[in-house]
Amino acid sequence: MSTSKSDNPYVPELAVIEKIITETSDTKTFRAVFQNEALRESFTYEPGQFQEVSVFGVGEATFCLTSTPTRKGYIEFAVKKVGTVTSALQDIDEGATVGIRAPLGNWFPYNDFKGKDLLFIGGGIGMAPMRSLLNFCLDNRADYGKIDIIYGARSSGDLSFQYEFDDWSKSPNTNLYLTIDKPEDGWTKNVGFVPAYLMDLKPSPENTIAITCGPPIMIKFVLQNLRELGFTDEQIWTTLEMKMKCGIGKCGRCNIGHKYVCIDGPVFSNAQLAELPPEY
Amino acid sequence: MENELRQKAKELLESGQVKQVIGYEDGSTAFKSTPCFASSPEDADRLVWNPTCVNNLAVYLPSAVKQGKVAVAVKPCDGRSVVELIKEHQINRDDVVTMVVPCPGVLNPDALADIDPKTIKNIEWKGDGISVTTDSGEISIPREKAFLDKCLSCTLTDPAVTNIKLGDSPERSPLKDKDAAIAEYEKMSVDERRVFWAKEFTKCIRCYACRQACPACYCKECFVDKNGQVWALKSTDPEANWFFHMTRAMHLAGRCIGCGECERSCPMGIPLTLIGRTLEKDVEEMFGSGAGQDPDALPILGSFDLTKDPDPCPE
Amino acid sequence: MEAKVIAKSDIGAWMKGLADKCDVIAPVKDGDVSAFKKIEDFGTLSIDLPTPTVKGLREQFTPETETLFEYKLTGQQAELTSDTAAQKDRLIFGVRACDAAALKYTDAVNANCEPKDALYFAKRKQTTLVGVCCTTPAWSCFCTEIGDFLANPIMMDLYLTDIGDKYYAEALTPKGETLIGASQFQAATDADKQAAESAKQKVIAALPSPIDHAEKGKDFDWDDPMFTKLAEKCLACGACTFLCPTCHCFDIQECAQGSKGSRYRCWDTCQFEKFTLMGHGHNPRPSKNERTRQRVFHKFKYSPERYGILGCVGCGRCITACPVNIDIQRVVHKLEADK
Ligand code: SF4
Ligand code: SF4
Ligand code: SF4
Ligand code: SF4
Ligand code: FES
Repeated sequence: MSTSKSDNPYVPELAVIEKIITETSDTKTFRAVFQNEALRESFTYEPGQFQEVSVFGVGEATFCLTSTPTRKGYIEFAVKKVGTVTSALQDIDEGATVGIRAPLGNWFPYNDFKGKDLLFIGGGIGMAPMRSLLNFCLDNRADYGKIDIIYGARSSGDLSFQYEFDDWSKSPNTNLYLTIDKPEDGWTKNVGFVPAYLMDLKPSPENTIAITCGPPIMIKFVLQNLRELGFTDEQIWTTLEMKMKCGIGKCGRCNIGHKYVCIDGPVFSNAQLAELPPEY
Repeated sequence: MENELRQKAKELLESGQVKQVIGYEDGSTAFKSTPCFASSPEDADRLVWNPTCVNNLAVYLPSAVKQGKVAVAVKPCDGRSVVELIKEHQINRDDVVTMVVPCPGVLNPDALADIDPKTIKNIEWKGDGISVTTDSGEISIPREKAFLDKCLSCTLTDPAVTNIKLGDSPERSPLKDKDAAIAEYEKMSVDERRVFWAKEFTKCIRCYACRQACPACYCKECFVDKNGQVWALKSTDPEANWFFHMTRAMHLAGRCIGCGECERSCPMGIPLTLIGRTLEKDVEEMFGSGAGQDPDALPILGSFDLTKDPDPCPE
Repeated sequence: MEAKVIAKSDIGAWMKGLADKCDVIAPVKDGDVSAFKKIEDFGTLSIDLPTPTVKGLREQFTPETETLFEYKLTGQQAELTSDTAAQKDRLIFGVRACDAAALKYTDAVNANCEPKDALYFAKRKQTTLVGVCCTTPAWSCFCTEIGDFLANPIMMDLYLTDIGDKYYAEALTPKGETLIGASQFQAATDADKQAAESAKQKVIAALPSPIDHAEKGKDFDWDDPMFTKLAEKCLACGACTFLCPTCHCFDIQECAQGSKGSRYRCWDTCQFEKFTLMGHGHNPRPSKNERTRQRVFHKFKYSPERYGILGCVGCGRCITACPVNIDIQRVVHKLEADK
């Protein structure tokens, strides 16, 4: 028996970077289109899933899919410069070829969220994985109740996806609450940390799902505050970041207890996380 | 001797002079001991000193001193690692108390080859060799068979950093020439050596037990682990293995004290001490001094003396 | 299934016959270490059966370094090729019952979620396994504590038991039945069968009694103070996990040579600090405390929880290999007593 490209799960699909959007000083969003036309048509995924992106000659790194499957033909991922592959990606130009293994992992149980109010709480680059679900819900607006988005960053220049803020806030029954850490000239929105802003806004836990993602320290206080507001662990969802290589449960590095973040996650409810050892 | 060791360790711990004492205690079988980290006087009762105490405990010092002053049981050979660590500014002289144990030689596991390991009850020094107590009686093993090669050629006296001397150093006349092993090796031509090492290095699985057990391999990040700038491949391809071992060897030139922990730890039986000893000999010949002797000396590859160093860079 | 006998003196001829159809791999001494090697010369057959091989079967199915694909870059374009050359079928002779049992575990891991690991299963499919019952277990062996596969082997095709000048050969699969169809095998007598049975019982009697580790693992104490003790002396090397027949963790790396190169995987271990270190510096298992716990918990707690089987077959390799005498059997017994 031979191992052909199609059954070797470590061989990526080739994709062309069609568009690069500079989000912040260290973050860019890449729009990739599969070279294989049939795949371009058939490829689909779910909000919350992730992918392994190859820069040939450098290596592979893990990124969430930040685009929504409701908008077909391309996929997007946001990259913050932290390591080798992420730095290499910052340097490539539109038209470059990358490798993509996707979709990987589980996703937000958006069917269970139907009919409920949604509260998105994001910090910095943490907005990237939530953007997929957010745009998915906005594209299926009738399925969901009120949508509140609390999004914060260090400064206004550190807010990603600004070109979509209008679409978000103009969507019916949807509110976008922006906040930055320190005052800035011309900034008319809130100033303060995300967890504190959450307490100012005091969203009701009634029939609401909270989805949060951001730096660990923000998450820690957001969770505390959500509980104080009356949210139960079952109502809080997050997506975890973990060192990953294979993305398919084989290489062994992303476990938390007996769960693998790459296949049992990256999306977990707080109730699910409470069952796992505190090792993430 | 064991009692004396325990007693001293107790005193040091009781008086608060040290935070912990690193020594040996009984292992999971009678022919192995295991490192012991004693932090209370009661712990000190577990300390042992017998032929199974092979590990070079100096490997633990750079991290152990972070929690406070440490006393460590060292054989004369291991003591030289302490000297190196001080010389290379990895530990302060004041942070470590060396307890030098009298060492007739430590166990060569091959010595037990003909004994059913499950029957072994105890191993101790006796005469100039060892005595192995088994279920079916006592077996004496003579020195030339009982001890590691390094012990058979050992002429070391108390290390330059001796704080506490336990017992009297045993009379020791070397049974073997220190260079006997490399004399054979040096008979090989350069090409033969290449073939020899190529064969040995194909066995390497890159478990890095050699590096981790080595008291001189303390780099915060080993060149082979860098993932930003890739210096060396993690692959076990022959060239990659060759590159790893040769680079490690060069990093150890003038610093390897020949404790043999790399070779002992290597699960694949690669004769790594041959590399260290060859280098050590070259360094001795070229620079006139070796590793682990003088804590105040400058590291050989970390210094340059225009008047003395041979073969300065060509113009 | 059927059982026959084969004279020890006929093993060489039998293997030579097989070698026409497939690669024959058996344990041979390579310097001081015993390793599985392809047998080329059946005349001077020097199979090393008494000592277990230093490595188990892991490298046979997941080599230490394995190319995943190659790439070529031309300007902005990339072209990928993955080697599709068929491998020769092979027969591995002299497999220990524990090493074969470990395949049950690695099969489960490699089938852990779709897609399965095709590279692993391609090699599995092409391999016939001939086991031998141990006659002289090492001091560190404790397989009988884990399972009864020494008496009732699993995951192999044929099982040989030393009964003097011949082997009692039990076929365990259709592949095994075909094997004992070879002319070197003769019908087994009742006496042969009894001899094999008593040979097995003799070894088993010298080994520890069974313990329900999977059940006990459920109650392991996450905060057991023993891990701080182990972490103090553990050197954070890969000796234990790289020799372990069930350990399967790997890294994926790039080998770039100008405009071409390859992506490969190589063995990796939870004992290395960088295993879980993330690009921005966070490490969920930042110290040896967490990492020593991971190894033991993974094998004795997480694996039963996830796959329904232990991640240890009691081969004792990690015990003999550890430079500081960390003995997983002792560690687990202590954890079970501490809970
Ligand atoms: S201990 Fe041996 S097998 Fe492991 S990396 Fe060193 S030389 Fe290689
Ligand atoms: S954990 Fe140790 S004893 Fe168990 S299978 Fe692995 S190497 Fe063998
Ligand atoms: S013990 Fe560690 S190296 Fe072995 S399989 Fe488990 S996580 Fe991987
Ligand atoms: S072999 Fe021993 S020292 Fe090395 S990582 Fe394993 S337990 Fe630690
Ligand atoms: S990334 Fe390999 S197991 Fe999860």
